[in-house]
Amino acid sequence: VIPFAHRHRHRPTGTRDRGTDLPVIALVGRPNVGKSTVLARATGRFAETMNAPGSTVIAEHRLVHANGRTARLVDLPGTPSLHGSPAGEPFWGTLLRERPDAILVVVDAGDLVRHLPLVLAARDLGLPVVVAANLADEARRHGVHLDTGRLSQLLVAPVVETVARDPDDSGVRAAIALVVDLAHRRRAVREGTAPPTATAPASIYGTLELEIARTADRLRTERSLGAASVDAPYAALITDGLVSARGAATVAIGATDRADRLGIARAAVAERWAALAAPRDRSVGPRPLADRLARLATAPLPGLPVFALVTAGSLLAMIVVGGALSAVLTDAWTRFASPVIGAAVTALVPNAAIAEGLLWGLDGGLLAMLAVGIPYVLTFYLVLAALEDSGYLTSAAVLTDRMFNAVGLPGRAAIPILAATGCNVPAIYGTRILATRRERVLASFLIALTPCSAASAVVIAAIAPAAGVGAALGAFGLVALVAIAAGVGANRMVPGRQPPLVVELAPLRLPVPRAVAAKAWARFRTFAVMAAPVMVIGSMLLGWLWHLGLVRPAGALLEPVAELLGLPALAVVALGFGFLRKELALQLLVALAVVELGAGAADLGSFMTPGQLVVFAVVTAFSIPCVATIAAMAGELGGRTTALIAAGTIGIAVGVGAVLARLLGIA
Amino acid sequence: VRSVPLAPLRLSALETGAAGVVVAIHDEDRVALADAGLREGSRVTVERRLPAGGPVLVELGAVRIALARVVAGRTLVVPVGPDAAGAPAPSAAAESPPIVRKVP
Repeated sequence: VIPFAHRHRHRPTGTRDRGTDLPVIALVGRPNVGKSTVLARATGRFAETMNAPGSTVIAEHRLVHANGRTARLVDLPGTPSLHGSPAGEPFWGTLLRERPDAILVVVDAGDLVRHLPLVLAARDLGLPVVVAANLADEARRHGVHLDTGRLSQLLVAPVVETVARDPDDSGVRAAIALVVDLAHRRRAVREGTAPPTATAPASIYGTLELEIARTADRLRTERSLGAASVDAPYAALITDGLVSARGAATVAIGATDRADRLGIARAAVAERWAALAAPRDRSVGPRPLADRLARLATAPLPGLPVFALVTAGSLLAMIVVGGALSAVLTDAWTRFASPVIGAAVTALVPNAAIAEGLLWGLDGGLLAMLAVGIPYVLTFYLVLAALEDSGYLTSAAVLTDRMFNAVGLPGRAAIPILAATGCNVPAIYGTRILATRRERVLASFLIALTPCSAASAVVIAAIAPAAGVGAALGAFGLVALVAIAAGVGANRMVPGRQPPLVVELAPLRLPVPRAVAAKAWARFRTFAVMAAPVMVIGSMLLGWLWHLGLVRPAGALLEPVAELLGLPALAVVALGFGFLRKELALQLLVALAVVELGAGAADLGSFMTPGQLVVFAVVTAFSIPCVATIAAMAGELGGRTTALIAAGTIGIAVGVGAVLARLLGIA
Repeated sequence: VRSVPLAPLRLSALETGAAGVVVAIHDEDRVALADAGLREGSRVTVERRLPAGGPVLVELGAVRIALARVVAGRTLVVPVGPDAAGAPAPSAAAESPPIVRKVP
């Protein structure tokens, strides 16, 4: 049992709208039921709750209005049950911390058997509940005809059919109006301005009802005695007026009963009521096309070729669209923004050192954001959102599960890892689709070892002219082999084990372009807010180091590493600058060579041997992740894990580089 | 007339296209399977077994669930005919709609 911190009234993270004294409506539902779409339809803006274990729960707060009244709608992470842990703690704790006055439960109208238990659990808390039976259009296509009146009667709660994806659907508005009204009534009762007229739930759990009643009595006594015991967290729920005594009892039983008798009882009720209120017409003709496609997507043939096409297409979109956008934005920036910023900084800042640092930050740093952030990250988010909304990701995950098991990952890790070949930063955020922190750590490690498009450009540009295309491809092959070996090793070293796959296959749907764009933009905004300051400040610091002439002493310090890798010291300094941006490593190598050896050194072939260029490129591909990746990783996994991963990649880079240097006879 | 064996089988051993009622779930898998909606008493149909020890895909009502081979290997089912209903789950006690009453 994770104690419910009832005294800890935290300020909800992710709050967008004020109105802290307004009645609160909790928005809950199983994952992938369209909860975020309901929120977007209800408030006119897309939001995403984070469903990643080990990360902060972001509960999105929005104001909703109906019939001249306002309430605060809190979108919570998707959960299969109140005792599930979608974000590292039991969901009931996350839910009740928001002190809801009413609950809006979103269910799949075509799959009530699995969705009703959550409704029953919410209802058992003693809070007013409204049910939004979403995806009603799909349910009808599958021959499921929901009788909302019958279900309302059974649940003793309003049930409204919704098709949240459809902009013309009025169901969401109706559900919001009902739940706002109930939340206001409940708040009035709570504040003592209205008499309690709650509807008591009937006995539906057979013999378990007696245990629920006994537990409720025990918790009431506990509350009055104020005793500290294992029951204390549940008794506190009554003390705080969050739930009824029966509600606290169901939470306590659900949390402590290993046999999950309450869960089984709810499932049995759900099965019975679903059959009564939403019978399936078995005379419906052939399966809908989407169902047939979904089955084909998980068959090895044509599933695996389709998977290869989808991943190649996603990658190509990132490289082509991202590359084109990057070129356009970089060109526009250097033509129009750079001269203005340069002139402004030179005019306003008389001190040359400070001016240079500012220029590195404001010009170079923001340019880096434009060259990487918008083109690659935004493109990736668009592709990822479209894949997510299509429901294809789970099919891909199932197909590739066995392949990724070797490195301790489930099949769905294929998506972020392949995305890393475009840019590591969105790939790190993409690991949120993984179920456990261990999986996210292992995937992030592999992502850090995956050459992004910038690092790949360094590999090609450094090796191909001097040693040929074959050598460049060989370098990529070596990088892939080492990354797989490192992944296998990390799987053995990182404590814990991979939970076996149990995943619900999402049905295939046509993504709604507006929803995809809104989701991608919401994610990109989060990335930009986090990464932009890091890029600007990091660039400034490097600019000052450069201006103060500290780069050359750094080269002297790195002499032992240079010897180990068989590289000139300047090349190792350039590698260090790859920390800011991978492509900087090569650009700076050329610049440093020209400064040191004259214009002729711009041709790297005259400055380094083909073997040295191969080592330089391979080490660049592996070495420390760039600053934007580090920042993203630190935000997702914490500083310590990020430091360990960075140290691991440096170790692998130097180790592989040293071995390669000896094999090539340059050290 | 088709004979129906009553002895439980591993879910992973159930033939593709065959249906079965889940009669035993390993403790380690109980939470994950319950979250997916699969409990003792659930009726499942095997859709496909992916090669090379890959997951087993099953249909559970309107949804499809993929189970790692190890999970399917320690979940026991009793095969049933294609039209048989699921076995009643323990504690099933919802035979009639609830009676609503107002409390002061």
